[in-house]
Amino acid sequence: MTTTTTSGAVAAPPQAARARTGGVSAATQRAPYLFIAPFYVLYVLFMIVPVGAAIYLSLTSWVGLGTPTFVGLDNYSGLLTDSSFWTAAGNSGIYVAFSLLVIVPCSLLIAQALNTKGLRARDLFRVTFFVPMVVSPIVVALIFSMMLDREYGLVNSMLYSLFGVPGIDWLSDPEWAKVSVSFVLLWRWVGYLTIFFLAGLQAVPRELYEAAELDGAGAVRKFTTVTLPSIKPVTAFVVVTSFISAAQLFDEPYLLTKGGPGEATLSVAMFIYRAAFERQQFGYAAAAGVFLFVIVFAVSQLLNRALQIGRAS
Amino acid sequence: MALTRRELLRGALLLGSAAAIGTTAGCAPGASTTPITSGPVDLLLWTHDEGYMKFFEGSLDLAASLTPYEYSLRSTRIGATDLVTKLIAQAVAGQGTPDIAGLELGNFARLLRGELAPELLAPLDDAVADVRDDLIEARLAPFTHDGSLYALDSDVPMVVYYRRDDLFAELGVPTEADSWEDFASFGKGFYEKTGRSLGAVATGTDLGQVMQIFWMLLLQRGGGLFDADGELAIETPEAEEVLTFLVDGVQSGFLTTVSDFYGPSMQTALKDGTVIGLWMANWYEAYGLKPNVPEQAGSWRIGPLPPFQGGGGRTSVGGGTGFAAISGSVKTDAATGLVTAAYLEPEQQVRRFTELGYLPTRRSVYADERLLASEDEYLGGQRAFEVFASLVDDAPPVYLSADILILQTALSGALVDAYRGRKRPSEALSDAAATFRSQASR
Amino acid sequence: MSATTVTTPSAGAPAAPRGRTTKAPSRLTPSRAALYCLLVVLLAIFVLPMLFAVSGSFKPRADIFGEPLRLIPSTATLENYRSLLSSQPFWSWFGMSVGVATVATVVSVFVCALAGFAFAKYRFRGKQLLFTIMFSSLSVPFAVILVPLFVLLVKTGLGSPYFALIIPWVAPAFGIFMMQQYIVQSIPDEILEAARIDGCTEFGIFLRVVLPLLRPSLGALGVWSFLQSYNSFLWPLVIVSDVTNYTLPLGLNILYASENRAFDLVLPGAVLASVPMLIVFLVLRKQLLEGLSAGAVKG
Repeated sequence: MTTTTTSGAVAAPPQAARARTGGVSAATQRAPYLFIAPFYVLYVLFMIVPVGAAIYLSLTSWVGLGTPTFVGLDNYSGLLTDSSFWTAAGNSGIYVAFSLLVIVPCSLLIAQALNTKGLRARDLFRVTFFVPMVVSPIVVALIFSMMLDREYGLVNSMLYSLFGVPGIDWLSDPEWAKVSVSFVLLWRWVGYLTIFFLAGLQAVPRELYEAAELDGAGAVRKFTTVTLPSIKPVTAFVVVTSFISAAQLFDEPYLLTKGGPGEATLSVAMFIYRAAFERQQFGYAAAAGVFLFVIVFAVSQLLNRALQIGRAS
Repeated sequence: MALTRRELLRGALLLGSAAAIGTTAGCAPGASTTPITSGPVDLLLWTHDEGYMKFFEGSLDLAASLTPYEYSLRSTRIGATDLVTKLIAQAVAGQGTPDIAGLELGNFARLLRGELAPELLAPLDDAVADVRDDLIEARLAPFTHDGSLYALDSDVPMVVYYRRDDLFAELGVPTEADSWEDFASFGKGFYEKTGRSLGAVATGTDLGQVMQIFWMLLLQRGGGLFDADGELAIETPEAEEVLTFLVDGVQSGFLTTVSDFYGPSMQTALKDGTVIGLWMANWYEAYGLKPNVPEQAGSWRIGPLPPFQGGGGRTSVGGGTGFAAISGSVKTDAATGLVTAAYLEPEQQVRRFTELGYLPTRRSVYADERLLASEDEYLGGQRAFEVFASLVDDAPPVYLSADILILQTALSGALVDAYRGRKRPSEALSDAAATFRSQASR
Repeated sequence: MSATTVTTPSAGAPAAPRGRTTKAPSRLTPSRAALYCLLVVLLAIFVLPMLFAVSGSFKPRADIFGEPLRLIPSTATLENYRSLLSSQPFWSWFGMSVGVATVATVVSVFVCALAGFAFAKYRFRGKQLLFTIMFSSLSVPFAVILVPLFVLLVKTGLGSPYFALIIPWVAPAFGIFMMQQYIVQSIPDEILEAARIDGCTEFGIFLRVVLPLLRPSLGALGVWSFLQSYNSFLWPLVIVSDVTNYTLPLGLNILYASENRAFDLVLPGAVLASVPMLIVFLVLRKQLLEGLSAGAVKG
């Protein structure tokens, strides 16, 4: 059915089974609709109205209470000239690039390492990468601000005693703050993504590796010729959802730097939150939200195309 | 498919608009029913701190004796920022609003936008009319909007200079400097000799705090972030003078930078004696010093701030939490009665100082003998209230703007840039002002 | 917790295979040694912050930051735990969070697998459009629909915490999308055909053939789903009004937001709060990691 099936290395004889389509019962035809119904019921009940309201609000000026004033496209044109918004967009771009180019590959490598046959203390390592996810966000903020403190932080005192590096302003220097946020992003996300990759790796048939070994393939070649093609659907999923989550990133900069210093680590999602819940500019926030939605949706559709996701045959 | 999507969107838009319009009507639950005018009434209080909850619970009998109501109270704790967010959301939904809310100053400012404050909060002008002359005007200003008072401050959060008296004596630091400037030039040499600083500025991720440390001295100097009309006032000679003073202090070592006055960095600095003095509001003793350095009990003292040579008073203010009655409910009148009884009665003001450490907001209470005679153990038995009483007439008024959180982002970044030498003080202030103006217009 | 504290014995000790590793430990090659080194370094980076939190939770308030470098508190005390549990309705926060997250996880794993199965293995009219609609909901920024959604639920009388914290979130597009991709990868069409020939109904195929084969990815989705619910803050904030119905993130936040920043209550709270998630992980670990024999997949 989907083109991905063929590349998914389940060694399926290409589409042979398709021949069956002759007599499909009514029940079989109804089944997929029933299977996906729960989502659409909830979607209609709880998604359409709020999204519609948000689109409407994006055309108004509204402080959060009282009657919204219709302002047409003012909010949108305001966004285009708002330097904060573009700063935020630039930062979100950095977070997206970092998550796709660094975090996703790292997770795959870690998953691969953890999947190694006969690895000792495997459970210990697996739990390790999971630990950041169970740490409550308040504690993440607290512990990292302690470790990264300029004057009293653990990291700076280690750097100083080991290499004589003078105090780095991890959280209040515009450039280093981006590095710190990115690091925490890596720290918190790698475990998640590793789990997804691990689940994908489980489904790669051992026989394929054995066959490759018989052909004399080394570890690297096995990885590129067997592992990567086999887990392509999962990889595509991880790439697309990482993109969407990174583009909508809120937690890490909010926890660590509150978007600061100034707006050096502000993300678009924080920009929206700030406008709506600190500055009481709901209409403006909604416009930024619509803008973010359109961009994220368009790019993720392109990614879907490129990665051949959900394409009907 | 494109067509279907468009239809879908149009449908959604219609539905959404309908919902949005539906939401704007009737944000006053039970507005049609008659207000409760006497008898039993059950009120809901929202606040971010347990201390206030206990204080209000302890005020119910008194309030009952002063009003026709018999009060019972339920309390919910919510973080200061979240409280306002949730308050607005509940008001839009038309139910679930509290009757009384404690509004932290910076978040109260959010209600100054549009008609939020008048829509949500009951004006208290009539309720305070009898004692208005006795209320400290400087603490009415921040909670006043378009001439109406919407909340009663819990405190006159006066700023004093905290010092490690033991180390000051041992190391020969003057306890009553003639001016900040003199103190700073002493502090420079002192730092070179001892490696200790006589003050600190915040540079961390709590942007409100970064701004507040600067704001306190700016207010002392006679300036402010906003003027009485709510217009931005950071491009003034006073602001530049104060920032230059801070930047020079940081660069000379007279002042040090810490990322959080309540957290790890300040605790370390206090424990190892890197910071042996600082300016902060009256509540810092309870919320900053005691929790972090209980072992230094007895070594701390407070005193007036050294004045600036250029002018201004000997104290300032920082923070504050106002309590407001929520409007449009059948219980609004009862809630107003409880807030005013709990907050304005002189005995209550005395109790608020003894139980919570907050300073009276009525001028006459500063003559209370019990308070004047009270000794503070943590401050080595010092009569702290005497110090505050001698300074209360210097407490400068604070003016807010609906846009203060926009300024907070812009200014906190600029301040850190200035402390670190990345920008000159005047440049930092004008950059912050420019950023502010480009964003505040919406 | 125990899982994180056993670091020392096993970390990179090649000569002493501990009981439950594989039967035939391979020789320690240089590349494998490098792998261990790397993993151990990463282990330190990943676990250290949590260890600080654990050790901080046993220190008196005045020492929490004063001696941040000491993992072993100079004066360890249970006082923080005691005062947290006696002064706050901690266990009701805990119960609320765990209950909500468990129900939401069980339901959503099932619903997502079902929908993912439909998208992965059926051809039906409107599939492309329906997929796109489903997929588009992933890109909606939550902050802009928060207030309208809240108003909608309250106006329709559905604002009860138990309903609002669970039901709107039991069919996340993320999970459906995820399940679709895993099913595409790991379930060959042939076994579905074989089951149909055996006379299974479509739902029967899902239950008896598909679900068992999906175990690793169901585990991954379960972990994701539990965490989503367990860690969410903004939505419970507007939905829950009664302190005893607070979820853990709300409860910890009010401790942190109090005037004196009650770190001495936040840290033990956070440590206790992480226990259910570790348990979920350990329970699902089997599903997640032990995997399936290749034969089963090949059917």
